[in-house]
Amino acid sequence: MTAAPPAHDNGEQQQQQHALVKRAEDEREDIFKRYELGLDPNNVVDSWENPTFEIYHITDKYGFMHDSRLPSSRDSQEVQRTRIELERDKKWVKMLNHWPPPQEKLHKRVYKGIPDRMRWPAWKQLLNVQHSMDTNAGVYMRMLQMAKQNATETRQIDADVNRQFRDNLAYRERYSVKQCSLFNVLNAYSIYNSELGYCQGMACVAGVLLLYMQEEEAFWALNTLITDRKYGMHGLFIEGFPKLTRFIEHHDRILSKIMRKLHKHFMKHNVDALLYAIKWFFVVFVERVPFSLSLRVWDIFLLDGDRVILAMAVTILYLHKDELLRLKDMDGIIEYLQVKLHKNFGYNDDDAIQALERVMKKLKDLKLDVPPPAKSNEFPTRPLGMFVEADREKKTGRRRDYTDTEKQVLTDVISRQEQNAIEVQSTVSYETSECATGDAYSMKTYQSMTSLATSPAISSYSLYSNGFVITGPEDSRSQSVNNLNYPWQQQQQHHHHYMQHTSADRLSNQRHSYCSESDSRNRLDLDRALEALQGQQLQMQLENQHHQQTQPAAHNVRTLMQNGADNQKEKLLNNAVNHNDKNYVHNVVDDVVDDNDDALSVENTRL
Amino acid sequence: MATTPRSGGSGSGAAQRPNGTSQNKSCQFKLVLLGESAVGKSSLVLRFVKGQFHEYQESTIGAAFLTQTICIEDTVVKFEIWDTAGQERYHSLAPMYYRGAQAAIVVYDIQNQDSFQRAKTWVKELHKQASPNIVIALAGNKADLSNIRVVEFDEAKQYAEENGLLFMETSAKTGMNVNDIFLAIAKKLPKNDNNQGSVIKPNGNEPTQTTNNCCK
Repeated sequence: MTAAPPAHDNGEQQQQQHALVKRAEDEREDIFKRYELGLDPNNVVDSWENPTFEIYHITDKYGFMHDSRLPSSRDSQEVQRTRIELERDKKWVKMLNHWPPPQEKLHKRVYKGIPDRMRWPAWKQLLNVQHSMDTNAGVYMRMLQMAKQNATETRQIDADVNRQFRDNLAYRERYSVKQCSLFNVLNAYSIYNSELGYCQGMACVAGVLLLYMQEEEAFWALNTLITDRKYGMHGLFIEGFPKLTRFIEHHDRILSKIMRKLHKHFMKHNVDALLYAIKWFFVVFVERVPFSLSLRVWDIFLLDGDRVILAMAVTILYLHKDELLRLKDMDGIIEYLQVKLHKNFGYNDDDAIQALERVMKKLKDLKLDVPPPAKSNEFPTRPLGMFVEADREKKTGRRRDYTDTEKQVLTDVISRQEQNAIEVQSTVSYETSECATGDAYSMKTYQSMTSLATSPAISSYSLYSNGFVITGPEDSRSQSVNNLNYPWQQQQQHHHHYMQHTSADRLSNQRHSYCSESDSRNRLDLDRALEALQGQQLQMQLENQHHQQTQPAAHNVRTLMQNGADNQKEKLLNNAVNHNDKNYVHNVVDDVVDDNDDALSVENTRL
Repeated sequence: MATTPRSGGSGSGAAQRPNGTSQNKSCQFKLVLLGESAVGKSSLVLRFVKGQFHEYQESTIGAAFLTQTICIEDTVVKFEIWDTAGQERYHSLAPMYYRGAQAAIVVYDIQNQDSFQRAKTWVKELHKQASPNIVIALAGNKADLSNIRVVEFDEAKQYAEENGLLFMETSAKTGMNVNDIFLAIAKKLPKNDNNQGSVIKPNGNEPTQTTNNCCK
């Protein structure tokens, strides 16, 4: 304690003493009076003093308040779970004291779920928080100070803090401790990683961390999630969202391989993965599945990194495939994925996580677990913590023009949508054609592509490439196809030359572009077939069952795979593979794909 | 409200089809909401589609998609509503939502001058990039807080008139003018089958009861 206070006037001190004693006496008298009144209705009782106080009944163990009362008594399952979790607590305490544990043990325990009381120390370990804090002593406070002078994202952060987890006790009250921490962490981080600044979605990520950590810990945990290559969220949140694009493409690739039916169903109803997956990826499923389940996914994400996100996306779609296939319109599907699953996932957390584990294994077997590698634009190029003064536009918060990166994103997204539409159309027409032999096949595809340009049913959404919907009386659609360029696209003709052509030219051109290795997601079925041949199961089938017949096809396929040159490939497709082979490849691939689906179904029924 | 006068629009087949008086026509329109972050875009949609208001509407990541069906005279109008994220960073995704849109609501917050300026930028962008016949409405939201307004009604109204926009001040919180602004848009949209909006089957979706002007 500090030194004794200076000697005050004696009389004043006595007066203070007297007042304190008086207050204690009054207090005692008041308390006795209340007990004497007992249950008398005149007695004053604060609402929170009674067990009927609503918040007690609607708040779950994570602090989230629900619309209606939660079950008042715990069922036997719940009791059992609590007992198990208490046992796990002990194991975790031991394990955390002997860090790092053997990988296998850690893996097993994390997949079982980190006990909630242990999340604080466990997440800190997994994200190396203590190490970051030790090696960066004082940095957080410095960033926070600098943010007070220089942050340019404060208005947006304020708007988002004001609505983040407001149904949670920790964030419920405006300017509560956690709200202030969230505000500080995000502002400080916008200075620390000035290249990234602040992007909506980060408030949710930091908000979850802060439910378990102190302010400075959460700052460094956030930094690890953003900058560490294992998590790489920088690439998700940075201007142009490069990682989002990469992950969505891989997500589509997975769907097209192991859930073709659902994939087609989504394409048919214009459900672009971008619509539902952006939030899944940006905040790792928080507010899209029940909170308890999202925590379980976070546990695994922190352990195994970003591939978990892709696997969980597939798991969700897989577990709900039948339901989703029954929904026949876009809003139904979106509502299901964005709202219903958050309220009720339909599977308990353990079952969902077991399914996730199986899907991860399956994807690994199919060599689909790892997306193509990140490009350099997904990571900070500027040293972290280096102060860079914002330009005037940023300072004033004024809208600027699209940057080149943004224009590129847009072009990519739009051409992706169109190709999706073309793909779904060509698949559909292929399926309906009885005799899908070589030339008939390509003819059919060609027709379906050209019909796309003139068929009103599907063109209204998918082919109006740039919003220039010509609403003139006659041939609006072909006009819209002719008028395909944003101003900036003209500068990028070498990338998107096909955009300039009239419909037929353009579409046939697009067929060529399917053969580009860089864009495998847009390949037609045949290309998929070629790719699927790489899978082991198929090789086995080829070798064991149809050795004779498949020889030519398999040979061609190998040649194709070795032959990177696109034109070669196209030629081979058209010339070398004879009709029967092609048919066969299709059939086999369908089998394999269905098998994959089935393989998952079998596992699913075991849940 | 008055009966459907429609903007003629580029001499297209604007005349309404005289036939089919006994059966309702059905139109489907794509509508996009744009505007600065936290002005109440999602809240407007939530009020219009579900009749609800959440004091703390979660921030929209990417975009949300909802639909609502209303009836105007003999026409069933289905809105496909794209509710976009307001943050500048998500701006590059916006054209994906407004391209092909027949209608847009550009929202600002009457307490926030910046958001009004941002709304003007959106209008400019729409005029430049979107479908030329797009019907644009300007919504000055949070009108329940008009005692602390910063953007004057007349100022916004004048701007709207100069730029050919529908204009209303709205409150997602109280519901004021929310249905009305969608209705006004629906009335302004051409509803002949072969022009804008893909035609949906009659009797497909029953119109919801949210709007009081719905067919009885």
